[in-house]
Amino acid sequence: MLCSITPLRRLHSAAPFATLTSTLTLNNKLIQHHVPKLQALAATHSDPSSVLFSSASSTSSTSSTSSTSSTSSTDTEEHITQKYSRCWMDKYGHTHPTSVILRPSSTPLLTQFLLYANNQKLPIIPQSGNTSLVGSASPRSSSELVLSLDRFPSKITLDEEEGVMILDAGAILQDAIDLATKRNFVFPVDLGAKGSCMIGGNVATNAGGIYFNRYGSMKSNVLGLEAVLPSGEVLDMMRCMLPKNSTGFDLKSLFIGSEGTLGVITKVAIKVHRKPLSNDLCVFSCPNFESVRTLEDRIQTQLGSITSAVEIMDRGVLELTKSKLNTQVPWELSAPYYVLVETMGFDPQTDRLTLESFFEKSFEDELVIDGVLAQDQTQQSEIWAVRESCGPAVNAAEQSWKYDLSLELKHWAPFVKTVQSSIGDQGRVVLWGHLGDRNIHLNVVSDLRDVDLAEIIEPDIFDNAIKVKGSISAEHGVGLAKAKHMPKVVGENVLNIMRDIKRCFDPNGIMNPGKMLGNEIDN
Amino acid sequence: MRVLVGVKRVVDYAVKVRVAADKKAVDLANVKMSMNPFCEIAVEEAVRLKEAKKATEIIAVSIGPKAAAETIRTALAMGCDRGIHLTTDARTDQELGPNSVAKLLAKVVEEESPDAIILGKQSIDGDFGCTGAMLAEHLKIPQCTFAAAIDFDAKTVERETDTGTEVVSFPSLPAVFTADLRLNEPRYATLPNIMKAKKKKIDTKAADSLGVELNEGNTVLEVFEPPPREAGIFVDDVDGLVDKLKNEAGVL
Repeated sequence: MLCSITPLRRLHSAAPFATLTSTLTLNNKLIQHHVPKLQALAATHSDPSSVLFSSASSTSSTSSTSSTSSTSSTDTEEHITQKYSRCWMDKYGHTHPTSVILRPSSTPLLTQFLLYANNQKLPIIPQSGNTSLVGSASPRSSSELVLSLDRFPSKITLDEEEGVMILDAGAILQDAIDLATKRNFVFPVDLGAKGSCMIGGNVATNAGGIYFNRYGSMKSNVLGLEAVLPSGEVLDMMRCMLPKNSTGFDLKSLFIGSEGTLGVITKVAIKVHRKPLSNDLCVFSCPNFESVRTLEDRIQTQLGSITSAVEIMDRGVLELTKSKLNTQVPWELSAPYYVLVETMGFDPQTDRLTLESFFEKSFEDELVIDGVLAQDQTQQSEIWAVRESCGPAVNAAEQSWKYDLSLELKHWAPFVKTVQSSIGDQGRVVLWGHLGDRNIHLNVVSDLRDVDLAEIIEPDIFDNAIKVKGSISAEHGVGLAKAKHMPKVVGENVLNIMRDIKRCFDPNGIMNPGKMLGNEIDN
Repeated sequence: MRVLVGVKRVVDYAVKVRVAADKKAVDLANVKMSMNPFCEIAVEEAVRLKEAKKATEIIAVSIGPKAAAETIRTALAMGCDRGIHLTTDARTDQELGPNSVAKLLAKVVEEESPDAIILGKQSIDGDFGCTGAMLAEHLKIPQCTFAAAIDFDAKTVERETDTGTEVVSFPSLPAVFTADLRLNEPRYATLPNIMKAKKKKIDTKAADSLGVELNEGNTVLEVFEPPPREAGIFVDDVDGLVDKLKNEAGVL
């Protein structure tokens, strides 16, 4: 039986799953008792390299025996455990790295690992590309096992007539995008981390990206999904992959955005869209945020059906990317805001003319003071490279804090002002984001090393976002970073039902404990 | 100084071309077209001359189909003053050869009397790299090809060679220069300049009305893709390597 909950009696969380004081004891048991069992499972599937471990953090007096992939030095072990623990921003996972990493190369072995972990009540951190910005894929201690999909199958097939791409969870997003492009399709999700992130994680985090504006959310584009549950069941939600299928509760959408707390996604079917015949890219320079708002309104009316992406960057982040990363910004930084508009239409000549007259009118009306229009594909790639450098540029600062909010446009400028005045000259607020979707990436950078500006900025920024009915996580997810805010974000009764659902899929609370829904549930 | 710049409309550099079904040409249906990258560099060089007040007028000339007017517009948006469009329905990637193009350009030069003619070193579709040299020969004027730097005051050109660069001097203007990659980094067309370019003049005439014999050049027999690259292999030892190099690759 899958789950056993009685909704009328809510079992609320109490103690965390494993306190740090008991970590070392658990860790010893983990290495000495469980690892050999896991290795035995791996052996039955002829996949000995699917179990890596480091006993560096154990207090055992036995010598550090390494994984069967023959790493013998403690340094290399540390490198491996850091690789699977440290998050991209160096904010989570590195201080208490994992000691055991499971890397199954097939669904049957993944199932066996999960079943074992469930029976033994071992905490599992599913990890896809490890590109989370909120610590979703990072372990909180060495007794949490990382279940990495980096050796998982990565096959991708495409049915051109139906526009359906079927991907194994280990497929890298860039590969999916490349295959779609090669066959004249557009993959609906495109984001900066595409070279490293994998589709399983993208689905598990309900990834957004630049094409949300045109092709909708991950939820609208996932036509089917297969996931493995802690019970060892393989849940096949790919029986029908046609877009219109109204047959019962849509379980697959529970997994989209579940951040590894329900099970492990092993396969997905994604809708891909026929590539339009023409493609243009321009950047408009706006003298103030009011003009940005008016411009966005006009973009929707006059360019609407041909726009594919509408993004924004401020001068601050562009100056940062130039100074920190030497990024070539091929336009004058003469204005405070830059709106990037990509169009995909039917005819190159008509689209070009439409964009040019759109600019002309906006220029006359003083909504824009300058702009560039890419003349070829290479210039388009350069402009996108600038946009994609925003995150890395901020990461290159001495310290940075990221806020991924959905806010109505009228709140953008006030929010920036509030945060900037709260931190004074200790840091600088820079912004970029998906203007068309109202998703602002409000970032704070600082040259100071020893002050944590999050203490000043939070929780006010989250409280204010909630107050104006915004979202505190537009696309990055909740993870560890924002789990504690969930009660006030969704409300107690909704959160309780979320936890009931979690218990239904994961009664022992082994899947990504502490992430997304906050407090662990009783087991 | 008046400068004439050649600009060609070609398949966009970033596009992965496909061979047409009849294997006679590259498939151009719905393929993105843009200005030849070396022509962009040529335009940029000319525009910089104007900004440095060394040139007074820059004319962009293109030979191609109706849509080549867009390419001229891009040149105008980058800073050229006016354009000349010689229209032709011949495929400019393989039917219209460099000698025909050179002869047509020579006619334009006779009309416009520029002091300098700057072309890209080659087009990325035909890849002949001959037009500049042929034009100079037809006009009996000096040519400085593969230019990495041009100094109009000292009358020298630093040109690319297989081993580095060499500096050559040209005796006088007019002369033909062909632009290589390192000559400059072309600017983007700003939207205000694109607006201004709409008001600039483009003279259009049919290429075959200039009294130039156009149907010469090579005949394309077949267009095909190179064989796909095979995966690498490991060899067990040096002997194995030598064996492969000798008997399979045939390089020893």
